[in-house]
Amino acid sequence: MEDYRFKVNLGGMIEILSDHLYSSPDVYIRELLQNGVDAITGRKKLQEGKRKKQEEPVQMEDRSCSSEGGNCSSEGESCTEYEVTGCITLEIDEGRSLIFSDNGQGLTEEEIHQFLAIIGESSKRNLENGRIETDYIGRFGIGLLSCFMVSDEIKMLTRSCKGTDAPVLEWRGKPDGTYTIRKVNRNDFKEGESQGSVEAKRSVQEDSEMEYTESNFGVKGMQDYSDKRKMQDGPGKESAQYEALAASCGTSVMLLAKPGMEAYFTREVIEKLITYYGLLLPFPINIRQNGQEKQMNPTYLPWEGRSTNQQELLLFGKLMFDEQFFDCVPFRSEEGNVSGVAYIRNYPVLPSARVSHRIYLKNMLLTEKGDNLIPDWAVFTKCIVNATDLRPTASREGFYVDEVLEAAREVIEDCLTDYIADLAENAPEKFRQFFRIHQLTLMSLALATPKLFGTLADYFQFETTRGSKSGYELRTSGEPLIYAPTEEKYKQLSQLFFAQDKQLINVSYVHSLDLLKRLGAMYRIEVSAVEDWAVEDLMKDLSPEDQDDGFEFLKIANRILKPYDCKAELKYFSPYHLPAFYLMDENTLLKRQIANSRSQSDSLFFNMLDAFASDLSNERAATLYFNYHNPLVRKLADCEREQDMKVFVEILYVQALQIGGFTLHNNEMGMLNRNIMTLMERGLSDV
Amino acid sequence: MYDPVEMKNTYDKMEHGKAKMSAIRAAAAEADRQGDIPFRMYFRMEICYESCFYGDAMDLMVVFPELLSLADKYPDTPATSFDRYIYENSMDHVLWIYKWVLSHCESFYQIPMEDCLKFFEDAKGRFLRYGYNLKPWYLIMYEFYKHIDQGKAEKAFHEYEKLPRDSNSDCAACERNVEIDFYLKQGNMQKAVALSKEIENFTLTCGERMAAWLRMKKHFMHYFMRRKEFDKALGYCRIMERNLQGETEYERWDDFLACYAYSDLGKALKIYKEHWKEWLNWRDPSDEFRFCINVCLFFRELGKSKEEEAQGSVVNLSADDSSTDKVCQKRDAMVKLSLDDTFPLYQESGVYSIPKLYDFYFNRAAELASKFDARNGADGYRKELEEALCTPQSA
Repeated sequence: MEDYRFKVNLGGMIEILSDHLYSSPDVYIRELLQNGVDAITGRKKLQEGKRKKQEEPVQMEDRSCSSEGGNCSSEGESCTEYEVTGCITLEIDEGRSLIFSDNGQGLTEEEIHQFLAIIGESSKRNLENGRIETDYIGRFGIGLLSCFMVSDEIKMLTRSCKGTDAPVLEWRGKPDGTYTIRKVNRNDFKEGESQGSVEAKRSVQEDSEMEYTESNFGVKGMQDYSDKRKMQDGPGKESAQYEALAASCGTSVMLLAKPGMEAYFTREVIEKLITYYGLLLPFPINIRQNGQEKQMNPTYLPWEGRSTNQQELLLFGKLMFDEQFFDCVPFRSEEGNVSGVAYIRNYPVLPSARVSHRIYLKNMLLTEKGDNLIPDWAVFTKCIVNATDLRPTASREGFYVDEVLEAAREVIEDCLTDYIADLAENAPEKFRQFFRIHQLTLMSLALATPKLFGTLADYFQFETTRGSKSGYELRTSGEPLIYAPTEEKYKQLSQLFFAQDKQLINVSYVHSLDLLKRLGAMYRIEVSAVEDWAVEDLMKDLSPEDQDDGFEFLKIANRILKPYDCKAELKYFSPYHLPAFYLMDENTLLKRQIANSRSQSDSLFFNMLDAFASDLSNERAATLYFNYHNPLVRKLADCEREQDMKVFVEILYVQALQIGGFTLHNNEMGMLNRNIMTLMERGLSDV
Repeated sequence: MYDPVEMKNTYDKMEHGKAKMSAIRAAAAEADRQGDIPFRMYFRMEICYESCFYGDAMDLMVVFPELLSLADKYPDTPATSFDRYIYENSMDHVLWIYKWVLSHCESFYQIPMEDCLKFFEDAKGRFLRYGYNLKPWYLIMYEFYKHIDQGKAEKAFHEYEKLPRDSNSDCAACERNVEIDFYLKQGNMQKAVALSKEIENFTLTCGERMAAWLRMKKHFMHYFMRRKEFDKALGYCRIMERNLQGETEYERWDDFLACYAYSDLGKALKIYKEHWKEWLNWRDPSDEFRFCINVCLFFRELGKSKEEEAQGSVVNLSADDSSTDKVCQKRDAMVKLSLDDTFPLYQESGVYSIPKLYDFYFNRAAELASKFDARNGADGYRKELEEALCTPQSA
């Protein structure tokens, strides 16, 4: 039996990655940043390990960054390994090429074979126990392949920091799956591209106390925090990279734009991507072009570890999201080591709106979706969050839902609710402004957060038959809160209630019903849907004399209305101009709907619809109330001919249905038309 | 002015429930008046959707015949601007909804078995004529027979497994959830867990990101509830509660009630108080059947806890305390509830006998079980009731 190996078509793999895993070629910058940051982290861990073993600190002419022969401080000065601070540099040849350099741990030849050339083999795994080290951002060993989306060859120069005699290695990989490795020296580069006398001087994190101005945070306006370096033209870039590595350790990845991908090698795009993915990285990220160098990021989180004031945070938010915010709320959770700022938006947002946050994992942008981390009701915020100890999903578009994440979310929730409560108590004018902007969202928040409900409930507005009323007005009115559960019901009943100055509340708007119920529960006020008996209470029974007068009419009206599953009643009610009022219960409504459906359906469904209808109560639960205050009804009651009465009763029946907003069946509309024609004919014949 | 887009935008902002349904119906009525065929159909589709996923499915069953009739009368109706990116035309959308109707046939005992089978045959013919295969049809057939005939149910499931997916198939996540449920019912936890992994890590999702995940959690919760391992079921219950995100489809408050009955009676009582009315008026009888079982479980535990309290207070009394005799007399455990007079056992005092409440819900469940079994020609519902509960408490 022979053993075989699975073969991987690298070109096909790249296509799969670019079509299904990576959303766009933009991500190549993200992947390079990821690898660079991890390399720097790796170097620091190695050094920390050595320090713990109490080895003598190694004196070496180390550079903070693998720049072109630059030193970490003044020329000639060396620094100890312990003083290495990370640095990443992107050297751009506009529209043509990019050199991405880091001063991380570099790679040995063995490591190149193992991690670079075996897809899926991540250097960040602890090889002994297969566990992935949590300090690293990258995990799966496939990030570098993203570069093949923009370039036909990946060229890498690297020198490992493991050992002072490590050679500079060149690795070249192609999308067809072939690669080369060789040791290089300065003679391997073309004549004329000799060692450059670069006066690069890099001071990394020289100044941690930045003055924040708007221009500081603008991508275009950010000040140069490091010394401006004047790079000499002349030496080939590759040899310059070699020289830098020969003196230190680190890695440089060189990419040439493939046709059609030139846009990804422009300064504008690269700066935008750096800002997008890496603005929070703790190492300087420098863009170098035409001899000029600019640091892109502040290297620390603006909301942590220093006394950043509110204005500065708001400016940072404007840089991040390109919009002005109403306010901002910093937060921090020990669980998951999550910190950030929630920016309060300056305009109303629908509860269903999708919000783009900036969620960072270990200072690298992970996703714009805040699912499970940012509370769903916080649509009025845009958040910047940095998490260190949350677990990303395999697709790296979010986090695993576990207890740590839930605890972090609770902290964010608490911060926001505390902010709102504080605002209401201590800054009422600002709170009113905030409430006006975000009323709809605050409704769902109030429902989700009992402790905030009391604060917010008084401000919510409800539509009633007495006009718009606030929660405060309703709860202090001293009367039970009766509501109409649907817009239709409200329309049907509002005339009656308004005419008699009774309060009926319309809860067909978003959240209104839940808010009203919660208000009632909190202040022990009865809240209930309008019941039929409550409607009947708005109508008075006739006096004995009027009952006698109307007796025959009522008998005939009931006979006329029986085919429509409706009974007739005589009452007094306001408004007087309303001749009749139709009321039906849920079952009767369903029966009408079933009847309507049956009239339009195939016979296949008749049995089913009939079965539903027969399962409902057989009592006539719809009533047409005739208003004995109305002059027309009084005249009708005096009518002697049943034939004539039928016409008018049916007209009033259909009219009442229409006023109540009920859908008419075909036979009802037909009945109305027929009766109107009858009246017209009679009228014309009298002329 | 007639503007169906505006009507849709207005009701889309509303919460799910009666008010929204009423607004959609009003939109349908308006489209009827205007003779706007595509929107006459579309708004009816919306009624079906709202009813199926956020209601008790009664409106789905009542309105679908009208919808199908319209589709047959106007077979070439194009899809509207709201659904044309998903469905080829209106008939395509209607066939999708027909699956929901078939899924609910089992839930309504009122529908004669003969009619249920006729609907299945009719749908089958339509799917095949339209060029679809029967993968979803078999899956629904499995779910239909789950409580009726295990043999037929399994056979249908295996037929489903053999067929490839097409554009009429449910999404992969929904199919996966049914598979998980199948294996859980077979007692194959290992297989069910293996199948759940892709839903757990959100590789498989359905519509809203949490939908499939919540459905999956629900299946596991039900599995442990069936085995009466309520402590494990509670874990799933809690995780669902925390992630509901306003999706009422997953607000299984009756299941949560039963889970909390074994760990936090206070919370369970609160749930009952908030939802009793909704359960009383629910028009899907198979759901109502399960509500009643869960409420019985709750009242049984509540009753036990009240009895233990009463016995405890007896132990604390001194031996020659004359009031001991009164305490020892058997009397119904009571509970205070703010119910209204729509509740059949309404008490103005607000004090209710727990055994009587238990019996009310048990009898209701038993009545429904006999109606379902009569329709099905089987005893699946009676067995389910027996397995979940014992004889009435006050017997």
